[in-house]
Amino acid sequence: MSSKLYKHVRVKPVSINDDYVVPVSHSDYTNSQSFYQSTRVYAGLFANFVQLLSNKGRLFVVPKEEPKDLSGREGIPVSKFDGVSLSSINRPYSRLFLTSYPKSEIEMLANPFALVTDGSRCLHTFFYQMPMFKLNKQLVELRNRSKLEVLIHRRFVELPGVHGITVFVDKDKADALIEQISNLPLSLKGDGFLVSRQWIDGIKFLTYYGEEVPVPDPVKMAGAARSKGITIARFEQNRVLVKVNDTVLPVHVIMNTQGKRLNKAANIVMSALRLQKYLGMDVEPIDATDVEKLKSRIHETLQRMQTGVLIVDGQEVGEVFVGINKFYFDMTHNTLPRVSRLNIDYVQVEVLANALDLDLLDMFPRRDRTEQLQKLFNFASQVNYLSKLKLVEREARL
Amino acid sequence: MTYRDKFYRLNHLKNKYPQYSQYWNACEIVLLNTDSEAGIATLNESQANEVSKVSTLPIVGTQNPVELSVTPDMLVWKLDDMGYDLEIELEDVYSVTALFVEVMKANLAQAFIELTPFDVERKRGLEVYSKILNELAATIVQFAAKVYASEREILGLRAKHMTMREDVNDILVPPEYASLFDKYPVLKTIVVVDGNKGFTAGNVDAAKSVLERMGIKVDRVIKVSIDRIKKELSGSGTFVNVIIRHPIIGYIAYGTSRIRQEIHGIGVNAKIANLLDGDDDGDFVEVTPIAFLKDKDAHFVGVF
Repeated sequence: MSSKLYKHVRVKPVSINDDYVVPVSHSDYTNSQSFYQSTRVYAGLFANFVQLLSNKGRLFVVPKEEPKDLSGREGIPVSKFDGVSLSSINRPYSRLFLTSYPKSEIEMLANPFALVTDGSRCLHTFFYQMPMFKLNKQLVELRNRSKLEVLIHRRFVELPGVHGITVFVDKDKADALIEQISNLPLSLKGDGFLVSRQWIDGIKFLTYYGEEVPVPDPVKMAGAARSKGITIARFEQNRVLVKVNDTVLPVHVIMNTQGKRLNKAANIVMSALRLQKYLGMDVEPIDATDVEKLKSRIHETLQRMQTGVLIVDGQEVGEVFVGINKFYFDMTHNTLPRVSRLNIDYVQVEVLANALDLDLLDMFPRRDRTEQLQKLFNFASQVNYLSKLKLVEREARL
Repeated sequence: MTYRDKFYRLNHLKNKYPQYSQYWNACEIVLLNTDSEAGIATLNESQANEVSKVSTLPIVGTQNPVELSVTPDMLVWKLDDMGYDLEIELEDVYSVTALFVEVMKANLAQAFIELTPFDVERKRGLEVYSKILNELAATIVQFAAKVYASEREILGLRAKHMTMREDVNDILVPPEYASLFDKYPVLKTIVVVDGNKGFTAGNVDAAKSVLERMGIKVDRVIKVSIDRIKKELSGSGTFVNVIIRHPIIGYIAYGTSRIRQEIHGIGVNAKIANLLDGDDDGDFVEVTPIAFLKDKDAHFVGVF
């Protein structure tokens, strides 16, 4: 599934040597196979963009393996790069972006409030994992009417994603509401999303062969500033509506208010601005480079924050924060349930089981591998014999 | 060696040793899907299935080719095992084992020896061939060590973690859970509890000890056949499972399960989810049935 939605692009490799970023090649590594593997970036929607950024000398990869001696090489100070926003959260500084700002311009286009958002709350690997997509007419219109403009020296449109009308509910108070909507005793404490069936059906992913792929259930997605989660339930769109002023809007996504995640402003403020724009209000472009202006913009927006009345099955259930959030999807996971062999060959599992005084592992049957091992050893001895035979043949030819 | 060289040699082998046609087809799939620089073959599911059909790995070139009968796990493996290293999870992408690659290399080297008309090149080819056979011998030893290490077989249902309300005293599982009960490792492991007796087709002492830790009291555990276990499972009752969040970290909880048609992940009580350090941002959870409480309704979840 995932392989057709993504393609490999080659990105220029560099290494960080004494606080300087220096270009490297395969000859700097003992294992050239691992080196080449590191320079291949697997990407979807932004694959060509990634390639362009690499060609322009803005985006680089740092191979995982340590290079051989790089002393004496000249480079660019590492402080001129953003090594976090486009790297994996598991391995910061695995991707470097040359920039004059504390965060990459890509991150600022994805989240114009990036400079006032917690440093670890970035686009990260969603930049690569977002597949190409096609939206139905209603979602295209929603996106066109709500996309924000960003100032980074000049005016840009925010990085594309899938827009959805989102209500933010308090995860500690929403249990009954969530059960009414989903028919399951779910909790938003796990940071999952509830999505409308019609919204998700309006999104189709596109493979590099032009085929359309429906969105699986569940699917992993992320709002602004790494507010990631999976879709934990779907609901019929006509059951859940939100009334903003005198306008009744369908609800596409229900998510929690991101209270503890330090990305509340990025999610709620940007969503509010998009909704204001969608409702025909005048929304000035966001100057993503000026920290003071960003702070005052957050303050202003929160003053004028739209709330709406949530309507479920025709009944008004209470006031909620409402906005139009932007989402990125990750199709690199096979999210479907499946029967699989538990990987317990790790030494750590045995150690932990012993520490807990668990007899659990003893319950599971041992497979009899004697026959398989015997066959392997016979094969090895035949290979050894063959090797000697060929040696004799070679000697005879000399 | 260029692609053209490889396919020229492969074609020669196909014609000369037609009895291994399934194997040569598999080699062709692998060669076609091998990255020319990184040297790693990446296969999709149908290609991996095709390669898995090979039952014998031959080394040709002698009057009686050397043969190794193989199982699918000796031929292909899933790339998602190294997803963390690649920083993405590549589900449904497969590759072939080092054993397959080394045998294929040996055969291609043999084809070179057979095809070259020049004596000097043939001698060079023999040198390369001997080197490949040595590498193959080392690979077989490594493979044998791996076979020896992976002797336990534990099956579970793997699905996305979904957080439930704190008052939910069951692990909610999707309908796919039912398919576990046709599988040998599950039937061999599960303990059927009927009143104050337990029945198992596996290790009696271990079964007794694990039941005790889960707070399920039985007077004795009796060893029975797998068929008997299968029959007992067809009746009514409640399944008790272990739930494992991450095999490396090894967080383990346990509890009764309920199948829910509407759910597509594994629903875990919020308090237990907290202890398991799991949330709904893409974490996987595995559920493995341990006991079946016959004609007994129970609701509980806990951690060891």
